[in-house]
Amino acid sequence: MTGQTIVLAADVPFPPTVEDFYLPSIAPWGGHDVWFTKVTLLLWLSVAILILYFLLSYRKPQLVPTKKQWLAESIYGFVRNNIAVEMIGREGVRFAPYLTTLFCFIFMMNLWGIIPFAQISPNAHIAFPIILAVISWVMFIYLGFRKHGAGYIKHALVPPAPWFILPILVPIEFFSNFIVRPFSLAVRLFANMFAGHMLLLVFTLGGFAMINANALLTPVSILSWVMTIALTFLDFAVIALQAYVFTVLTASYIQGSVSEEAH
Amino acid sequence: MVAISYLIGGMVVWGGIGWLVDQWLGTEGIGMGIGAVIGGAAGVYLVVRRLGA
Repeated sequence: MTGQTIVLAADVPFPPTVEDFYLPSIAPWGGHDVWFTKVTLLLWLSVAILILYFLLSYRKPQLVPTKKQWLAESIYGFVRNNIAVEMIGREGVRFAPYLTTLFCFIFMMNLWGIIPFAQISPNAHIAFPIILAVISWVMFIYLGFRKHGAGYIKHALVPPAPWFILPILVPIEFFSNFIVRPFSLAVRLFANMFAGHMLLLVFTLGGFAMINANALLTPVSILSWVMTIALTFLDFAVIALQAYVFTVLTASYIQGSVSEEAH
Repeated sequence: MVAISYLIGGMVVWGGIGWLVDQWLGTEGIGMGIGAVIGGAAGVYLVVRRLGA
């Protein structure tokens, strides 16, 4: 038996379930109950890679930038000019470092979803997007109170409208500004990463399932694997887009908090 | 995004309040229906105020 046929004959579990997202521990001494899984490792790797990359590329900056320095500066320049300043205005520059960190971190974390052997994004576990969304949430509320004092409550909750419909509108404002915002930030990122991983699993495992069921289905299996490759490219677009969307929305919430006029 | 969150928010908030009224008065769904309609209308109004003319 060649290696290939062993793989083909292997009993592949299909369809994939949510259980596939709960990876076993990679610590050699533990089963499922040791917390150190691939997801943990990927999180640490993301942080380490980002710190190292930006430290190394900004060490000894050149007037004519090297390639590494050029890329790092381009990323920062992109977030500063096209997200921070674009959304918040001139004073947005002071939020550019946080927004760049956020963008790079989410992008790196998402990117693991299509990197061979990693093949899962930590953001496919909702805990990670929740923490990021809570940071954005606390941040725009804090900035609002620092800018407007107690007047922030009025600034955020009272829309420009005649007084007699305000009792109807204020609860809606409260709901959509303080409850829907963090919820939708977290769920959007999580669901995109979860669905991306699930899709790739379905098409990869589905190919094996079909070829195991009937040898006549081999062409369909191959089509399924080709689809996996195509979907990997689609997933890359989603990865970049979701990192961008999360950052832009955070910037737009900050803008709503620090702007002078009632938005 | 803003528009969707206002529209859904309006219906959820006032539909929810209407549901609470239903529970209180023992009516079945009348309060929630009225609430959702009012909430939807208020949501449309907010979207127009925020995004429209």
